[in-house]
Amino acid sequence: MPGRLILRRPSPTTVSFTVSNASRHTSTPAKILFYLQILLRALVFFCVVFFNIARLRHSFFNQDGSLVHWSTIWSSPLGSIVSRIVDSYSAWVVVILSAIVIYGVFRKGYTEESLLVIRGLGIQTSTSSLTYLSKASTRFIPTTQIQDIVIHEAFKGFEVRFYLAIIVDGESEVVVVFPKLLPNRAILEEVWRGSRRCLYDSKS
Amino acid sequence: MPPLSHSPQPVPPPVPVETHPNRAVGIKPPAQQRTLPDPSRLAPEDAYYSPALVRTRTAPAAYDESIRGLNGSTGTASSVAALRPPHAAPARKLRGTSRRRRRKGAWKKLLWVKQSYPDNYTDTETFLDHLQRNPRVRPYDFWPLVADSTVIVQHVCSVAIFVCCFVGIVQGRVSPVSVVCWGSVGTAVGWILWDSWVFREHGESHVVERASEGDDGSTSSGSTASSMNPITTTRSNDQKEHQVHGLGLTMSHGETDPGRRSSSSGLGDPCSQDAASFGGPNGVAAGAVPPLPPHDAPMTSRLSSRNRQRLSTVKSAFLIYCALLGLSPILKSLTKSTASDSIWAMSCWLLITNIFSFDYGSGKGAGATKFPASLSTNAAVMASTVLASRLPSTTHVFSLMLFSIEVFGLFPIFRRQLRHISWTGHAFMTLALVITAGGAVGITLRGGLTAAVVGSMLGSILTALAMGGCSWWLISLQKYKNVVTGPWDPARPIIRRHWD
Amino acid sequence: MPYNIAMVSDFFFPQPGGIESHIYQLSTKLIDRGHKVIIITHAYKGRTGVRYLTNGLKVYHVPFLVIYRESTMPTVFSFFPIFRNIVIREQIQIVHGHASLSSFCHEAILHARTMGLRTVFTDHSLFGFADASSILTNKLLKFTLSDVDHVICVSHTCKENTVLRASLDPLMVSVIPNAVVAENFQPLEQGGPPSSIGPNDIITIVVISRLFYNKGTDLLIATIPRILSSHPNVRFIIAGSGPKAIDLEQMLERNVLQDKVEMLGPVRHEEVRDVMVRGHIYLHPSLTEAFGTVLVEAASCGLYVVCTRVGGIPEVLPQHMTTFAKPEEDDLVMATSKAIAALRSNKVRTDRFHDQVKMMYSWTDVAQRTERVYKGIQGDISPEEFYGYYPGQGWEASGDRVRSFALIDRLKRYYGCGVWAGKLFCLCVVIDVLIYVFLEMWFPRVNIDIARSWPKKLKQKEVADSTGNGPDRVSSTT
Repeated sequence: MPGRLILRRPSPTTVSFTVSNASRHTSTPAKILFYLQILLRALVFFCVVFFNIARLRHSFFNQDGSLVHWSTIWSSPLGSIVSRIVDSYSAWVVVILSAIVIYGVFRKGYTEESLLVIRGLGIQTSTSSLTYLSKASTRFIPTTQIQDIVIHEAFKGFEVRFYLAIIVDGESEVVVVFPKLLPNRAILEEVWRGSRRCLYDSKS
Repeated sequence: MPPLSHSPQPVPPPVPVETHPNRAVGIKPPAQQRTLPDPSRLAPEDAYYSPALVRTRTAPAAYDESIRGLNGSTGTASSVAALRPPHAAPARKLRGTSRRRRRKGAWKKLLWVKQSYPDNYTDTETFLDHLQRNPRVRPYDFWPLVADSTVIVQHVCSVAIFVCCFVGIVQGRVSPVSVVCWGSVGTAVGWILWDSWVFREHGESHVVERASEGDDGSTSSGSTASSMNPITTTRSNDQKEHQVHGLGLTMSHGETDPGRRSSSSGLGDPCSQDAASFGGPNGVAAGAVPPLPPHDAPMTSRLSSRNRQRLSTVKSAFLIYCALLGLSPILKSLTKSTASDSIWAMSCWLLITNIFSFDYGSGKGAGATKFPASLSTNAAVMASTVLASRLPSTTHVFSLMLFSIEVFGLFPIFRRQLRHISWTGHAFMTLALVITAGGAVGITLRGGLTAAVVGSMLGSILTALAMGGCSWWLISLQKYKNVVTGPWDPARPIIRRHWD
Repeated sequence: MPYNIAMVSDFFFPQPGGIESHIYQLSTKLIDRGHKVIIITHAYKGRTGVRYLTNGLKVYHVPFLVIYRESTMPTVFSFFPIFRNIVIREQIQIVHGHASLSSFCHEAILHARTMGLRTVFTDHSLFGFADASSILTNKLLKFTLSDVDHVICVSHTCKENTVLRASLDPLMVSVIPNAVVAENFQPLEQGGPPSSIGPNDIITIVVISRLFYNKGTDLLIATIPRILSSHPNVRFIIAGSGPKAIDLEQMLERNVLQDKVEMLGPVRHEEVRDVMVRGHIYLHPSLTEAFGTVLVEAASCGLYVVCTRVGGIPEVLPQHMTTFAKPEEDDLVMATSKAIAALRSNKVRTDRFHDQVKMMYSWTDVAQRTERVYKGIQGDISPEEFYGYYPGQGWEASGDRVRSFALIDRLKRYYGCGVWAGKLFCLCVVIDVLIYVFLEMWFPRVNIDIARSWPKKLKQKEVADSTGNGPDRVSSTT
């Protein structure tokens, strides 16, 4: 899915470019689908938690607590089915499977990368993380270290792609902006113009 | 050009008809000439037969060619390549310039001139002017080819005989001592004959002797050759009044027992004669030996030197005999631990190597064989060494080794000399070998006299058929020969190494 | 009308050499004529990614495995995806491959035909027909050239060779020679009248060549002592390196000629002129040569040329600049002596050589002629005009010369390559077409960014005339 550019300009000296391949959910069915997806994720998450609790019912969750009556749960039809399923697998299988499912639940379906340019201060690039749990990885480059911002081409896989790169003082390698999405040339040129104007052109 | 109208000709004739070199020879058959058959299907006659013949021969192909041309680009090149028969250039000079050339300015095959012709202009007169097809091809004739193949037949037969003898010895059908005795007698007779031939030649010129003397450096290397080279060395040393190089070993044994085993003394001398085959590839030092000063009195000392050489031959033969006798127990146990299967396979391969790498050349002038001649002999001796470990006693081993040296080391030299001396003898020798080999194979396979007779009959017939068939095949393959040379080939520099 | 041209070859800068500089010079001049040129080559050590050279010449250093002497592994199809991507993003119309030993070039021509582009191939070298490697190369060449639109050769001998090797229609082969940048090969500045050489003045013979067998180093080794012994006032300068350098040095030691023969070792192409102007005669004993650019360079420096009459050499220079010899020791010695005598008698006006060579060879001319080839294959010149029109002779511009892209026609052409080879080649082409279809689905055209062209400069001429590769504008590493 090709990325799309979101441009924010909170102040005259600051501009933020965000490239994202997330769908925009404009139409009603898309919105419904989106909420359904959230619901499903929550459901799956609770299922996994429940299965794990069922697995650990002998060691921890056998006494009736103040909130939940575990023994009644385990004796209920649903509880007994779950217990039987869980008991038929070894602990490792359950752990690994639930880890995978949890990862799937928290995995972001999209990537969002952004470039924040603040005049006189510097540039911050950020790439969203894979899951909802971890934070985006960011890198800040102060103005004094920025030599130039360029658009160039490189081989990637079976393609030649354009990329926006910041040449940093004292580093042998350039810092690639939007390294995962590598948006197309039109977006890159807009970002390039905008960031250069913001960084160097005092009149804007 | 009416005959061309139906076929897409690849090369336009931008020059008028009369300047075209192909048409210069005769106006009438232009289409036939231009549509020579595919160059890859060119007969060698094209290169060396008269042009008239080429034309008549290729005339029927014209139609096929034009059909081929319709099929696409593939036909074009052939007709281009065929555009110019070899050696047609002189015709052009005779014609001189034409009207059109004068008008437009003749196209020149030069790059530095700005010409009014387009870049892809193809001048039909000069294009592929220097192309030569099969320039150095030599046509084969049937009978000489068959005659030449006798050399191969001889060698294959002697290998077959050797193998049959081995099988006989292993199966206990033949006594090894009788085999080696007969072999030795044969060798002795061969040596006597050879000796007389060589000295007859020797009387005519000293060239042979000199060539053999250049050989003594080769003693330093070559495992097979080393088994015979002591003889050479002895002889050379003798002539050279016991010079230092050569094996000191031979000197110490030199004076013993001249009369005994004259049979195996035949081994020695041919070796030295065969300087070209042994010394050449082996001898590191062979080239470095300075030419010997001529004998001070060749006429007077001829007889004595001859006798001395014979004496030395006998001595070295005895030396070989002793060495082999001493080595036999070692050779017997050398590959004893190897499984019989491996032994058979190995000896097969070695004998095949021997046959394929054998120096079938005449030994005169054609010194540039691809394989060193020692490879062949080494392979054969190695094969017999390997086979020897399957024999029951030391006597067996000794006999087999001696026989193999006689068959593989000395017999080829005799055969070569025989071919050199008398063609009839060579033919008879071939016949005898074929019959013997056939008989031996027959006996080995079935046993009994009838089998031998049937074998020799069958062997002779099969050999004759194979010789004829192979020769005919080779000749028929010649029409596919298509060597194209031209100015693009790297030139062969001609250098006189006078400063060496 | 301007074209978008892709030059494809394994051989390009930073590797030095004749083909490399040919590609560079031709591309520069074509850019000057308003075309857009990119170069596709493989990645060299320290040269990867996409680079720009002087004049906006864009070079794609495709990362590929190099097997032998900077030639890439011939992997018929693996180059296709990336090649297609480059061709689409640069909107290439003509693919121009160089050098028959470059597998890159052959693959590119095959893929380009599959993609429906016009192709040109330039052959820079001569091949025999005898040895095994030549046979293999020739078969490969036949494969590629069965379906090429036009072929350019550097000399007429080269053309004959290529026509035979690849079974081509000779009208589809143009002869466009190499050229030299005459400004880089100027003789020493001399004020006043040209100095004459006296009977006892020292005459210096220059030899600049890689010391390989096929460059005739053996001949050189044999002739030097003889020339020096018969002409005491002659000196040699030998530049270049190679496996035969040891033989040469041994000869010098054996004959004690170190004071008369100067060995310079390898020299860079930029320094060649400085070496050449030190001498009077250029000796070129090569055994095979398609064109011999170095001869033109030597003549441009004002040197009298003694060379062997092999390959395309006799076509290169006019009679008054050269003395030809057979590739034989005696004849070469004789030719050199003749040349020395001619110089001593001051009959040869070497001072005029430079201007004459400048008139004969220029890259602008080469680019112009190459452009005509492009026009011809693109149909901007009518086939009659391009291939020649000969009314009344039963000749027409046959439909086969203008090569159609229809698969069935292509297969027909490939099928004729040989009994087994033809079928194999057809198989390759069919697979290539299938890969192309697959790529069109998997990496659709619309997703490929179109690269911007280098902005055209309105007035610039002299900048691009430098031989070496220009400074890289942007370097990239990913």
